[in-house]
Amino acid sequence: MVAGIGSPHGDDQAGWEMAREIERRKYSHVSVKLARTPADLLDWIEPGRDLLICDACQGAGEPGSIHQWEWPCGQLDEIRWSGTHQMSLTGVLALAEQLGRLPQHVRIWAIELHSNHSGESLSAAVQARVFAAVEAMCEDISNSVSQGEIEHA
Amino acid sequence: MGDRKIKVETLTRVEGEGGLFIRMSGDTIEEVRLEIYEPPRLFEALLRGRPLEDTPDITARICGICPVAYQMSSVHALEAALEVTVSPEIRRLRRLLYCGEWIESHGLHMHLLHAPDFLGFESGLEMAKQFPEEVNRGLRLKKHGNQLVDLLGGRAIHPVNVCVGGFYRIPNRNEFQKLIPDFEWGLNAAMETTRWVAGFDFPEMESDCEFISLSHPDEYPMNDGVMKSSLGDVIEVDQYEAEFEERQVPHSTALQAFRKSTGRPYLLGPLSRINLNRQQLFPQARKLADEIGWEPVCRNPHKAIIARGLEIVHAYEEALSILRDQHPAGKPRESYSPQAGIGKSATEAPRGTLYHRYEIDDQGKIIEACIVPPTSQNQAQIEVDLKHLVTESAGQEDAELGRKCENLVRAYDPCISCSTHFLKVTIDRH
Repeated sequence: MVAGIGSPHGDDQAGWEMAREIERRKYSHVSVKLARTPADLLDWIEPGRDLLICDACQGAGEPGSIHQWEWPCGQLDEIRWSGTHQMSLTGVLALAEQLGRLPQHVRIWAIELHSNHSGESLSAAVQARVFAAVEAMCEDISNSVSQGEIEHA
Repeated sequence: MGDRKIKVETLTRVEGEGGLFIRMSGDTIEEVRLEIYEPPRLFEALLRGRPLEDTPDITARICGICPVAYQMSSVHALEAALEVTVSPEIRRLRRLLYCGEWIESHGLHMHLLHAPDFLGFESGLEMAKQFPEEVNRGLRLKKHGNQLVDLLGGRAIHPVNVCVGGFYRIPNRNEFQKLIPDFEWGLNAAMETTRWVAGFDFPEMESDCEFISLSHPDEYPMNDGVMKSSLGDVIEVDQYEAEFEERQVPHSTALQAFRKSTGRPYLLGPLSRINLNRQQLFPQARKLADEIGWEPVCRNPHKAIIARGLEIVHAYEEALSILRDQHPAGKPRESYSPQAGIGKSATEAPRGTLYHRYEIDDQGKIIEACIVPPTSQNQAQIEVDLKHLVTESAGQEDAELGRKCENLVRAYDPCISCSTHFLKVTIDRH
């Protein structure tokens, strides 16, 4: 499953844009979801389905830089994820793990945001990197396909 | 015990930023302050000069947990100023929307924020390993609340479908019907939850507070009614500012509230609502209150978790009754023409009575706004109860005393703000 986390505000849309781009590539057996908060993941994840998360992040590098982590990863606690109201992404994944609902493989792909002000569109720095991030993710997905987990439509 | 200073740096599992300071000389309590230090957000000033239509969406931004409450108090106050009466269908759907907010807010607080205190865990995350069934249940209840707010409000957090006069759009019957199976499950789950928390080991405590909530002869209070007090007073919402006063205190950026007639603080929220309106609960909630032996008047603030459970049961029952009978037929909103006036309203947010007053001009612009949230009203009573607790427990070790204070603060489910989540507790003994 690919889950894009985001909102309609500025570079916080990066996660949604990445997930939508993957949806356009029409992988069978890959379901794509768009989440507004990390807690939405708790409604969708299943222990038997690998989880790829796309999000915007802050504090991991230069705006537009692409990052990938495998859960669990200590560095994730130091990254500031967009959004303040709800449980953090790391909190949600930790809770899912405690509840025995987390898949064995969880990978997080993120683009460092430049600005996430309300009403703004994606910044040029982030927009330019969405395609590259998705290419890298698709390679990730293809590797899973070669392992017999996912088929291309 | 000699003079001493105790500092508990962080209280988790409350909404917002604040601190707790306790100064003791020996066993004598010199001062207890619930310090709210986050900057004022100036929403009332922000509204001035704006079209009244902006108000529900702007005030919803005050809180990510209870945005519906802000929308409800604002639209009702503005409709009072405009002399707009909404249809029975709109009124019923607004109650349905409020049910969603109560379910998600109470469900989250009970399972992930408050229950760990009774079961000896530092967090809901820690509790999840040993109580996965209960935590999963809490998450599912919260999801139901969010689904309902999403359906009627247009989105789960900071909904956008509420407007002065009604809603921008009313979902069709099929959309309502789809929620019924989940809500039938949820009603049973809410009853299980309430039985579960009623079995917790509660600290002994009696608060000598005045309970205040809205009250209505025909329904459990949400959007309508008069303000009722456990002292026997009945106060029209129009008279709110004549009966209650807000005071600035040096240690808090939130105003505190007191009864003018007594000079004393008071308590709002689920404990007050149940104590004053038990007979208006839906049948299964009322029956459950009897089954678990809910006292005629419960004065133990720690037991607010049970009151929240009874209110979730009520909210599921009422939501189901509306969902089953919902046949959207009327227009989604009443029309109106701008006119100068003043409107006031109070509704019951999950944490208690939320009062709004607006003055608008003949062009429909906001001249003045007054918003009094429940947590700011409860602050002074929380300080009184903390003083009582510290007095009773003064002989205990600092760490244990600090923990008890944190637990008590959490019992009120304070929504200090929505931005960050910590409260520093300082106990200074000298």
